[in-house]
Amino acid sequence: MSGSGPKSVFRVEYWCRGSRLGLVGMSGFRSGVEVKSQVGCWVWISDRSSKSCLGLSVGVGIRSQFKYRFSNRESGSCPWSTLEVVKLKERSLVESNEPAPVCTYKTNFNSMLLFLPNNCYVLLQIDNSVFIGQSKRRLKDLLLQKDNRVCADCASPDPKWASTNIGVFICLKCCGVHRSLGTHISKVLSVTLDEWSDDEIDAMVEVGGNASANSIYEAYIPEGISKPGADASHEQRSKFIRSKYERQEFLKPSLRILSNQKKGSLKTSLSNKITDSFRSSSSTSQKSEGMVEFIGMLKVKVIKGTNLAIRDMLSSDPYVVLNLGKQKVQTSVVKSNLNPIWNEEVMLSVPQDYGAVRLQVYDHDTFSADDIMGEAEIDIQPMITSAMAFGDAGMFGNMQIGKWLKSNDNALLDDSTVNIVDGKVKQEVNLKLQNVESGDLELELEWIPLDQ
Amino acid sequence: MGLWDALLNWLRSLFFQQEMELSLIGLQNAGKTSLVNVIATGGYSEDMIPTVGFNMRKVTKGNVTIKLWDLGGQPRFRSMWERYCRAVSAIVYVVDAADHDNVSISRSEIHDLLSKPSLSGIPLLVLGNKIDKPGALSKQALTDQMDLKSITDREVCCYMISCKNSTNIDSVIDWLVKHSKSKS
Repeated sequence: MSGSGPKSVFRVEYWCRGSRLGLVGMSGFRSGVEVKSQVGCWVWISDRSSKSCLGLSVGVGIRSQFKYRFSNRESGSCPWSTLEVVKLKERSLVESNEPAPVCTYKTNFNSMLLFLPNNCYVLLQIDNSVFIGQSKRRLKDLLLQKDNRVCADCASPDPKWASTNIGVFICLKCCGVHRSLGTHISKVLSVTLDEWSDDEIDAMVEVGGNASANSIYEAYIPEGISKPGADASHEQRSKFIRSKYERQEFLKPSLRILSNQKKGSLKTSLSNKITDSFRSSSSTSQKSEGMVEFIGMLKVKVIKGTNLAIRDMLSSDPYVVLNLGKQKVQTSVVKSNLNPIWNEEVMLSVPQDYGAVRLQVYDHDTFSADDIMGEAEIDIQPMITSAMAFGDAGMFGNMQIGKWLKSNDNALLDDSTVNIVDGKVKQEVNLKLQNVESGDLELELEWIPLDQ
Repeated sequence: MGLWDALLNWLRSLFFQQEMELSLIGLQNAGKTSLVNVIATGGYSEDMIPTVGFNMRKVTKGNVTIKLWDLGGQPRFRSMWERYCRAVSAIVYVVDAADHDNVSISRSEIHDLLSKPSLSGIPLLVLGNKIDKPGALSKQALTDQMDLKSITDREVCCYMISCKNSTNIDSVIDWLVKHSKSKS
């Protein structure tokens, strides 16, 4: 084990026969041996009554792994082992050959409970206070916590978005609903794409993840109401999420009364923090970024490409990049296909003074810079202006509300109509890619206004 | 001298290269969409379908790019005119000068619209269309019947045009281009 700077601390507490004896020792710090990104620590636990000592080394992997080994003064160290936190709940910790005195453990990502003989057990817990300054890392650790591996609202796997003031990790589809609630209810950020401030991360850590947030927001779900599933429709999600956060219908009755009086005391302390962080960040690095007011979300469904340009030997590995202001989102890469079908939805937040959406298609190359395969501009003003003119689209039946006409100074293949479809404002866009030999692209836009 | 002219033109192009937004409103069948077509392509067709909601189209004239919001004129769309007019450089109001029965409705619609505080000060161009038809109102008659003199809080201009025969379309374009300049 080679030593390096402190990265993580385990606070070790030791109980014996059910009564707490107190903090025995704080850990020393070591970095993991095998994997660079892993940090490890070494703890030393002594049992005061007997003279036997137990040395325990634990590594924390950011890839949801604990690494551990046990040592005993007499018998020496066990080899390193890994625990896969995601899969295992309870298992015999030490298989067979070692005389180490530990039998079973319980763990989630930031803590570990070791059951020792004679009714003793050890709780290992990540001490968050040491993490300040390693914000993004803390966020990742939190995301890897088991309860955060599924969306807090619909339980679909691998959520990549978070509501920073509520403190939950959510999937893209639920994120769309959260945005529509307005930032005063839920302020969403992408875990991977957005810049996070320390305060926002602190707020997430303070809440402690989906399980603890849901223990409050879903304390009392009445019979007859069920959580939406991963494949739930937008309406089902929207209904549940609004009940859960906007009207806070599932809170404990005691909290519910409080929230009526104080307008959500649960939230205020956290959201104050968020606003504070905005104020401070606006004066430093992010400048006006944090002050941008969004008027809604643009959902872009990239449907398919046709007859795209060849950039490799015989084909291309295309993906689509969309830019709105400084925001950038992209689709996945489709391998070796000039007629790729993505059917992929991406989201852009639309500020008050929005411009056109710039679209570019690239060929993904592993060993060199990606090649461009054409571009186009999409004027989103027709859709947004008409959506606002109509107000609540849900009040109208299916109808056409406007049209963006093809002309020689835009990339349209044909006139692009804006429609109300099932209460949503949508626009079909067929583009002829510009500055390239060939290639068309089919998209569907959807406008999700932020209700004020 | 040639160099000097080139320089001036270059400077002018920098200055004039800009976008303006216009909204085209008026009762149904006044000829708004036809006007867009004439301005954009010079083409005219008798067979037009009513505009549903709006058609948005960009037209480039010289160094000015005009974004035209051609709004549906049917009664169900009129309440939304105001929303589309908020951010425009000028409002173009098209009237069928040969349809005497509807001029009074046309008058009340425009006066209603202009009473909206959100639209105060936006210049108004009133176009009496279809002067190729017999019995079309004169400019004076239209101005009187539309009560344009009572509009004092903004610039108001009136032209009599025919989309069918491209009469006076140049004047319209000149007026528009001039107002895109003054906007910046």
